Amino acid sequence: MRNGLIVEFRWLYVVNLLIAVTFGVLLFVLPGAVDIYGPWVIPNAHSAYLVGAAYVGAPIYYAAALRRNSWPIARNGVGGLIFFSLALLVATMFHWDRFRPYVPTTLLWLVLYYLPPVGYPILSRVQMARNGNDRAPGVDISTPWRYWLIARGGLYAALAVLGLLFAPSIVPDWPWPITPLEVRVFMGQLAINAWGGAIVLLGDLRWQHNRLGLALTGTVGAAQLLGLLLGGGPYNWSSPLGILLPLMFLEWVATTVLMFSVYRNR
Amino acid sequence: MSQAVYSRVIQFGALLIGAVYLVLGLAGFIPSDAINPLHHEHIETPYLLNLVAINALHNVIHLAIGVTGLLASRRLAWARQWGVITGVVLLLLFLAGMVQAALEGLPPDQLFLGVLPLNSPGHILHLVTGALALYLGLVRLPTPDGAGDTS
Repeated sequence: MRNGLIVEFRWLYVVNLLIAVTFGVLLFVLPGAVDIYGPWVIPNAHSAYLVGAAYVGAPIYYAAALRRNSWPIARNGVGGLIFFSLALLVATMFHWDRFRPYVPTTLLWLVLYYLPPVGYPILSRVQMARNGNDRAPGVDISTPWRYWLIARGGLYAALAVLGLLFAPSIVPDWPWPITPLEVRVFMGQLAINAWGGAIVLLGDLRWQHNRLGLALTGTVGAAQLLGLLLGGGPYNWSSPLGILLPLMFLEWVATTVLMFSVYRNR
Repeated sequence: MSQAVYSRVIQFGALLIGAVYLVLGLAGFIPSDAINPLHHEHIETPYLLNLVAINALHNVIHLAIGVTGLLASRRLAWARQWGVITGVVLLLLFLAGMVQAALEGLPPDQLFLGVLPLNSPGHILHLVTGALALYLGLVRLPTPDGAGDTS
């Protein structure tokens, strides 16, 4: 099928969808039992929600990509997954001592984040060689939105790099007790937002190419806000990030909702 | 879709995996405790990028996989043969390493055959790159009339 996803991607996405749903539910429903199922022990529910929001949002991307079965629509998400994985690999490198070596979810974690940086560039080329690499029909996003996506992407890229490098320095400013590992893992979510800006900066302005990535980041933002509402421990609103974090999550949701309302059915 | 396009994909795959192993092999020789810190969990050995248990022999093997991958990427037939051989070797090493780890009670790291340090990030590196290399070696190429070009 011209532009349909190759069977390799479809299988990978089905597996990733199941994993994301499983861990999204576990981290939000049983945040206190991470010591049973997690690759490392996340010390409190706040941090479990922070990490788990990515797994709540990811099924939106995987399910939509599988349902639409269109490489032009799913393509840009592959880059986001690669950068997300690289960020989580860096976090793992910094904190391998926190991981439990042969817990099945540790092995799964390593598979999940080794594979995209090496495997997805290969599979993307197989995809394009086998089923083509056409552009999706529809409109391009307008100049103001383009500048907005590039600006926020640049900001999140800078924050992600700084957060990965200097997580221990950020920890005291976090609104709840957190360790550098969870901060660094969270930077993967910023990397996905950064990739959304990079795509536009590289000239891919077609709305249909960008919409799944925005749906993903908007859902992650909503899951983060839900996590803040669920609580799970003291939250220090007067800390430097106490207000900024909810504002950032609101921005993820607002950008997605506004763009979907402007470009719906286009 | 022409076979030539597919050939470039297979050769790109060998090039990419080879480049990754070459970089890992070279990085393993950097004598820096910040990059390859010494770990003392079970055996005393450096961890490449604080993740993969290594020693000089392990680095040489990484370099060998990298150099042969880069060379094999020059021709389709070489790339596919390299994919099969490297894939099988890495997957066997993954299986053997996991079996040994299980027999030893899943220590944080182990010495395979008494010479090669391994740990779970290393096992999974071998699993993922081995599976990818084998995929490159075995993925069905389209014939000139398009048969075998399945999606």
